[in-house]
Amino acid sequence: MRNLFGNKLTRKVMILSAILIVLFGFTVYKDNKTLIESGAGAALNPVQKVIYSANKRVENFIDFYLRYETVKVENETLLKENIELNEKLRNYDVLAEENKNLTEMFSFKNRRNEYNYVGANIIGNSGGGIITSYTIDIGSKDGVKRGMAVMTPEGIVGQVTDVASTYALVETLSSENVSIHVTTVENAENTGILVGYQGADKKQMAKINYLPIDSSIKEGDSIVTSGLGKFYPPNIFVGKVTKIIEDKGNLMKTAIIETAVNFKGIQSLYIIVPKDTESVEY
Amino acid sequence: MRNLLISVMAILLFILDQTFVPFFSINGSYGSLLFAFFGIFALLSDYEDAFLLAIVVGFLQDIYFPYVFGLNILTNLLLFFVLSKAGETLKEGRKTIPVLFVTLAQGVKNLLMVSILYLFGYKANFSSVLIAPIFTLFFAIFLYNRIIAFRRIPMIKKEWKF
Repeated sequence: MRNLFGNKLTRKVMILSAILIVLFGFTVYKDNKTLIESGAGAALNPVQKVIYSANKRVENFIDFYLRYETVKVENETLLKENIELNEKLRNYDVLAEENKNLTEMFSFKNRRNEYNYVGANIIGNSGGGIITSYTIDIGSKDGVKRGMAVMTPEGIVGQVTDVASTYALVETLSSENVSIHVTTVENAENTGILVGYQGADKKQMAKINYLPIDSSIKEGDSIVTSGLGKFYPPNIFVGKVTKIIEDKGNLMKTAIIETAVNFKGIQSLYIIVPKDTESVEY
Repeated sequence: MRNLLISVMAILLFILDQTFVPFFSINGSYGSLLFAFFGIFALLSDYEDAFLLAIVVGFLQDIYFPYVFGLNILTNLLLFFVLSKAGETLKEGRKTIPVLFVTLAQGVKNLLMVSILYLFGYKANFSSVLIAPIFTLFFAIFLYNRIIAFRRIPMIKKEWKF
């Protein structure tokens, strides 16, 4: 035993391990990355960005030719859908005008205007496969804070989990470390916390736990953000309910949700930054 | 100069780990070229080298690691030491044992990291404990001869001091 402690190298290792364990305590509950990590990351980001986007392009190119037939069919259905949507859009314009007039009449505040939508690119994967997390090319310099929501035009993608000055780490909805307050479009009384979940066939999904047993939530309901606590803007699409599991013993329901965004194909995102960050507790 | 060359190699492999390897991920898990390369390097080296390598490799892996800083350094430190110790008893030129050792080390590393994250209240991808070593196995087989060649570069080679 004395021999073990007498060795200079062993002492070095022990001291370093002790320092690291103390460091864990400091960093684990800290919102921002340390100065060293920020600096090192800033130097590596540009190189990462180039290689990552080149690889992504190759992947998309191969993917397109492998799925050529499906892409063709998809294109046809999309064309048909486009015609239908155009028709709906015309009706929408009429309704939007009407809504605007009514809002002005009752002087409602437009809550969506309280947020900025800042664009970001994914420049790499982080977490080494142990945590599924992505690196994006904006950070605290652009107003990003831990806990902010990340979205694409299709819907919510996830949450910012770590921030450095020039980059940030994002986790997708399928991660169990992400939680968002949501509600259903069909009945605003069905609210709950959405957490990540992995489906039976390893599909990335999400679920809402602890819904009351008498809740009216059902298969096919659309899930949107509730906007509670000004954390996120309300009514951002999350996904659709695919299954309801009843737990009669605990008088609870769990809703399984298929998310609107396909996490694998994403390359650029938006971070939702509230204009008035003072009033939001992240 | 020796340290610089090792660091440059580590940065190159690290960037590939972040940008290229994840495209082949299985169920969100993937291995690490960096760990495979320097795991075998540590196995063929002495303790002093293992110590240095663990810090360089661990620091790089920790830069973009969410939540906790230092987790990769600590686990690498433990594992590279064990690998270096295991390497003492091996005959040079045998490929199988080093490859298997580094594969096993990857599994232990992921298990340790998932457990520590769980202690801090974060949920991690448990399947990576089984999937990442499979990647590392292939990486190690592919890299072994290259590591031997890398170690023979005059600047990397450690001269014996009598």
